[in-house]
Amino acid sequence: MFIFVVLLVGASVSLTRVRDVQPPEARLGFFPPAPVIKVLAADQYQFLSQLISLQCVFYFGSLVESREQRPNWRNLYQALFTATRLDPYNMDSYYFAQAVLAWEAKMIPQVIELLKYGFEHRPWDFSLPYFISFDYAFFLKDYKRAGEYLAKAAELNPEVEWYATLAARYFYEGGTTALALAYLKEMIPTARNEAIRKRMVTRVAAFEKILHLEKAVLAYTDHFHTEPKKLEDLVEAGLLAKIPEDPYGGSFFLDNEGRVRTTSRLAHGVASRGTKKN
Amino acid sequence: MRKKQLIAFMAVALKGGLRNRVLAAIVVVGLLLLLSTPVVAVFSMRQVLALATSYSLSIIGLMGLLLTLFLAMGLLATDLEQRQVDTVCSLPISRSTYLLGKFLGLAIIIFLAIAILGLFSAGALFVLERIYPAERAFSWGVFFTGLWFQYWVFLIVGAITLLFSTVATSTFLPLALSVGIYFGGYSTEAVRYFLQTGGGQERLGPVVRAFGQAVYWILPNFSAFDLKAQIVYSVAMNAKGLLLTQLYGLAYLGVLLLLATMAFSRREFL
Repeated sequence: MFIFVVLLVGASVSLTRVRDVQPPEARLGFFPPAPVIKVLAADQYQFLSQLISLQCVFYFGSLVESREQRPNWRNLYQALFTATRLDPYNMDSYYFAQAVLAWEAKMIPQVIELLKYGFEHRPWDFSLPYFISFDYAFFLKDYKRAGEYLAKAAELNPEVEWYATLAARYFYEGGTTALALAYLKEMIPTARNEAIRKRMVTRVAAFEKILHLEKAVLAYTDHFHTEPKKLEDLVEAGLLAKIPEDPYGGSFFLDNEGRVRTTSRLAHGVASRGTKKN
Repeated sequence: MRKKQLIAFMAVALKGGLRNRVLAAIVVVGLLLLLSTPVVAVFSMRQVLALATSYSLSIIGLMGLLLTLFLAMGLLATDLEQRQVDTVCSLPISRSTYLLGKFLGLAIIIFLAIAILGLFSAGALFVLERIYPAERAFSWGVFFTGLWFQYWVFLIVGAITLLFSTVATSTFLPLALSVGIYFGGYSTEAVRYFLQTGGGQERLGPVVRAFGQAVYWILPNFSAFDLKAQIVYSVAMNAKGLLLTQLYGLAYLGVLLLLATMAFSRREFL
């Protein structure tokens, strides 16, 4: 009996040491494709999906702490993909993908695809379009798509009213000022908070002036076959009576790319640090 | 008279199950479930209540299945081994009354077990809901409806095991076949959907597809009884679908019990 106990203790300790230095691929393990797991798991597939997500969390957590091995991002993504295909409602998988794969592994297109899949199945969940919007804006600088998704998040969670103003901002940054304007005009009647409503009204006023300036810039380019160097050129060409006033108190100007900007950056109380063309 | 005999056999089956201390074991499992659910659930990043619900439903599902198979296998096996069936069949008692009475006893034990586990689980979830409210309101009505349909899955599995027990001479074969049908029952719907897709039609020949379709119609469609998404994530329930599922369960159980009584009536006991 004693020999077996000693053998057990010795083997357990040695085995633990050996398994602690497994390569990352082996630590996370391999998960068969979701359809296979679903067939074998009967009605336990949902809990299995959550177990896979938890396993990803523990795997990432243990490797990040020890800093001895880098996580195998590909395997991690595959595990999360399997978890979401097993249970498309499993929010932990999407959250982990956004929190880790987007920032640490920079697997932005894959994360966006995962989140979009999740949003198809969780159409009530505003956080998914919010995450997608953030990824498009921050990582991919695709402001048009960022605006589209943040607009969806704003629709689902109207209590967070800055979603709407930020969505409009994204549309503007994406070169679709008209879309930003249309979107804000739709949101204003449904804004419940008076302070937020006033901000939206101010932003609408600013975007209307920007749109007016953008149209004048286009007309100048069409007529003179060259872009204007400054907004005063538009006045001199007779396309504008005067440069409109920024409702935020700043000054409109053309940036290095010929985009209409304002020194206020469309916010009250912001220091005038814009990069003017001249 | 027949009703009294039915109740008598039901009582025998019930007492047999209670004598097994099965329900006592279920209470122990229930307590472990109550205590372990919060421990498991707090690992979730965004959906503590969802993980808790999923975990407790999984435990209930697993325990219910094991209990059903264990008790259903023993329903006839014990009597056959101890030759009590010979004695019973020599009396002026119909075999179908005997079998149905036994099954009713099994049904009551499974119901009590699911009810006990369900209550323990509800206790844990009730506390967790106060601490970690879900983004979508947790519905107790849906939770108990889901448990009710889970119970019907166990009734059907129990009837399948009983049916195979009436014709098999060993206990292993009914167990293996019942487990196979249990897993098959959760896959047939997905397989059927696949067979209807372009990919399925490309990869599989007409004979295989026809076989797949036949299997779908013959095996019980347990996917219809699975309300976990509705319970855990508050996905909308389809009232018409639920009603049809209940009718389907009733009819399927009826067919199984009829087949079992027919097979048992023809069985020779030497």
